[in-house]
This record gives sequence, structure tokens and C-alpha cells, in this order.
Amino acid sequence: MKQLSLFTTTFQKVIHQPAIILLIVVECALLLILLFAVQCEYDNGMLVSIHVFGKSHDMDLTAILLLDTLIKFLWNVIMFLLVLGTAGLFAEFFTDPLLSIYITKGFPRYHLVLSYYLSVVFTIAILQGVFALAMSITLYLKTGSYFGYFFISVLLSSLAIVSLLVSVSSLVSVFFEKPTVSLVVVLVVYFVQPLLSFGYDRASTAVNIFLLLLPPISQVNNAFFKTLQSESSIQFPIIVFLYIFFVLSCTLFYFQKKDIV
Amino acid sequence: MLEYIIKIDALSKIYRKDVFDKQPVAALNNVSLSFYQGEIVAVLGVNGAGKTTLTKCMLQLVRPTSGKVLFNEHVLNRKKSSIGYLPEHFRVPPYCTARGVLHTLGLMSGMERSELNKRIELVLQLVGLDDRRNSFVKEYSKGMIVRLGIAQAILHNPQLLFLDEPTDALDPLGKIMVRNLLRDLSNQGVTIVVNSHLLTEIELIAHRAVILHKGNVIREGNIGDLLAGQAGFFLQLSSYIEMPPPYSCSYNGKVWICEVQSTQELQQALDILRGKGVTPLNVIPKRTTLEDLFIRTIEEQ
Repeated sequence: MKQLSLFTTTFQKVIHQPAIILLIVVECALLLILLFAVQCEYDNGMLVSIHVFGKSHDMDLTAILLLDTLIKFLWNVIMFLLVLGTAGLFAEFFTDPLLSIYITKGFPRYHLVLSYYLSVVFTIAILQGVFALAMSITLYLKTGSYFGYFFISVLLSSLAIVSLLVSVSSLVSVFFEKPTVSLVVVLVVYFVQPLLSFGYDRASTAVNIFLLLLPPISQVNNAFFKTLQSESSIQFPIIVFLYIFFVLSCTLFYFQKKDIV
Repeated sequence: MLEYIIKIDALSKIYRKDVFDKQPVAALNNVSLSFYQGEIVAVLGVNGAGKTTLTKCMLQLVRPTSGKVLFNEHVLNRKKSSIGYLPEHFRVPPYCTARGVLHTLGLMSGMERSELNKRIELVLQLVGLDDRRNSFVKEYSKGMIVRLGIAQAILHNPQLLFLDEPTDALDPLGKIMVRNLLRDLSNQGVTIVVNSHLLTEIELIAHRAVILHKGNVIREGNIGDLLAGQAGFFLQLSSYIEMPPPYSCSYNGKVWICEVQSTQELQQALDILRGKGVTPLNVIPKRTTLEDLFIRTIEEQ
């Protein structure tokens, strides 16, 4: 019951973040557009054209490329909002006056940090899970094709990135306790890591060691885009897990000794 | 004899910004104190005296540099969340209701749902928020948030209560409410440690006071004993009388006043006056307040 109440509090906090509210609005808008403004036309079971807001588009190569770009764009928008909505949460948690009250209620410190971390990740899992399910059902009704595999990979990839970045934000926040610092660091890491990892093989040893300190976002992104081409990647969950384990251990070690002033 | 509930042994706390900090701040210096069951103890001191650090060390929110805080496990079952705490700057998310906050914190204290619902109604009534139980916290005034803070601190029937500035933002009725509430809790055996700057309030409720200054305990004792030790008298005289030191007379616009600091001094002053053939108009016991005592103690430092 103790855990559940902490989860409920965290859930409320996450869904009241402006970026998360915007994310829910964007996802609902996407769903409504798909439901009411998009019609598919088939010929002998083959998709030949799509009607968007009453305008017909043939499914030629240009349309397929456009659709691919659109999916990537939406993926980036969703991920950006998720990062914005969750990056500052840990800094707020470490400065929350209720934190001292939770500790006086007999919660061990490591327990609080882990519960909060899992609550944030579970909340995002629930939000993204509902979106993925709704999109899969809508697309199934529209096209008769099953897109579950695609949306499960969207869900898992976004969760993996959020889990990685929230762990980074926990470590930054335990030292600096400022949501803005945490947000800036997480955004820099989110954008810089994929850029640096392009030249991973050719870079100097120092850059490669530095890259090991950053969360493996590009690996997750690659794994996600591989699923778009029906390929699968099973090694990234292990890398993600190890990275989170390491970063959270550092956060816990420091928080265990930290003065709550 | 009353059993101690917390014993502090040679507690020191030094704050450093980082490991290279060459000017560390000593917030507590070798502080040793005991707190007993059912007493209300006021921890007093100017800003930065170490009051909040002392409370936070007892709550294990701040790790002492040296020394120990011992809990009497026979009296206090720490695993059952038997501590209530109102932090100095109590805040809750604006989208919560008073009932919601208490419900969450009650569950975190390990309370059963059925017991919790009854208890929430009771504490909301006690702090005067029963008619605003379902209002959002963003609609609350500062005083109402403090009342909510007090409600959460006493919700789970704690045996030990720490209150940091509990009456600061309260209106006079709120202060009376807190005063009565703390007296009732103390009568039920709850140990209460209060940090406050409102000395007139503290004087009315506390059994014992601890005055901290620059991290040191400079005075400690029962309020009655502390104030009695400071007692004195005013001798009212109809005309100016030459008195030997340390006595002196001053005119207050109506009569001449001679101030003495103790019963012994009073006897000596009366002897001097008798020797001069003067009878005082009146002998008025001086009422020393906790505020007087506090200011005098700090000034002595």
C-alpha cells in the first residue's frame, strides 16, 4: 500500500507536467485524425491510395518516402516531449518538502529513489501503452492489417530512451537539485550522443571513453528504425539495463549520504 | 522517572560546500540533550543558530559529523512510522486536495483505509479545515497550508512530533487551536519538539526550553525554573532616594522606581531604605517573559 501511494503521487505529478499534457494532446490529435480524416483505398488487397481530409494520394514511391519521413518526425516529436516532461522531475523530487516527510515515515532512502524512478517509467509506460493500443486498434479497423509489432517497438523504444534519460537526470539532480540544469544536461545528452556515435569507430580513445559515459540512445534509435524494416535487435535491452543499473547505483550511493537541507 | 525518548550525545555538524571548502560552517557544536515522553520542548535561537539542523539530525535527514542520536526503542517503534514532522516550508502540489494529501500520507504511514478515513475527518476538524477538505490546495491561504501541514504531522498518531515554525503564518484563532492541540497531545504522552521564533506562544505551551546560539546550547531548563531564576522586583518610592550601587532609582513620570534582581537584593534594598527611614509605596514582583530571558541570554553571548 505504501508503494502504491507513492506511485499514485508520482503518476499525478508526471501527468501534470506541461510537456506531458502537450504530448497527450498531440497523441489524441493523431488518433482523431487517423480515425476520422484518413480513409484507405484497396485494390485486390493492395493499398493503392490514401484519402487525407478528403484529398486523395496515390501510394507511389514518393508517398511511401513521405510516410516514412512523417513517422520519423512524429517519433522525434513524441520523444522530445517525453524528454521535456520527465527530465526535471527528479530535481523536483530531491527538493520536494514532502521528501523529508517520506523519510520520516520509515522509507529507506534507496527505496524512495527506486520507487520514484519506477513510478516515472511506469507512468510513461501506461501513457504510451494506451496510445500504442489505441493506434493499433484504429489502424486495424482502417486497414485490416495488424500493426501491433510496430507499436510495441515504439512503446519499448520510447520507454528505453525515457528510462535512460531519467536515470541520467536522477544523477544530475542529486548533485545540482535544479530542474533547469537537469533539463539542459538531459537535452544535450539526448541530442549529442547520437551525433557523436556516428564517428564512434574512427574517433580517438578519449572520445570513445566519453561516449561510454553517455546513455546508448543511438543504439535504441537504430533498433527502433530496424524494426521499421522488419529487422529485430535483441542486444540493446542488455546495454540499456547495464547503463541504467550503473547510473542509478551512483545516484543511490550519493543520495544515501546526502543531507536533506 | 520519565523515560527518555531521544538522547543526543555530543552531536556536531559541520557543513562544507565541497571537499575543498576552506571555510566550513559549524551548525552544531558538541550538543548533548535528552527529550522525555510527554514533554513539549521549545528549541529557540536566532536565525542560523542550528535549530533546524538539530531537528534534521534527530530525524536522520542530516548526517551528523560526529556524535549520536539514540532513540528509546522501548517507547518508540520507529518501524511503525511513529514520528510526525512539519517542515518549515511545507508545500504540496497545487492540484491536490487536503483530503487527497492526507489520504496518500496516511497510506504511506501504513494506516488501514477504514481507520484512515475516520482519522482524516477527525484531524481536518481539529485543524479547522473540515469545510475545505475537497478544495484544491492552490485555493488555500498560507495559514491553511500550515494547518494542513499540522494535520499530516498528527494524522498517524505519532509518539514523537517535530514542528518547525508551526504558528508562523497562523491567525490568532489558529494559534490558539495549535496551542490547545499541542497541550492535548502532550497530555496523551506525545513528545513534542517545537522550533519557533514566537516566544510568547512558546511560553504558554512549552515545558522546557533549549536556547541555541551558533550551534551551542547556551541555556536549557524548565520554563518555570528559567523564568524564576530571572525574577526580580520593582520598589515604588514617593521621592528620589540616593542608593548605593548596584541599586539605582529612575522616575517613570508618576513615581520613582528602584529595580532589584533577586529576593536577596530586595532584602538588602529594604534594609537600606529602612535605614534611611523610607517605606516603599509598593513592592511589585517583576514579570520576566521568555522573550526577556531569550534576549538577555543572547546579549550575554
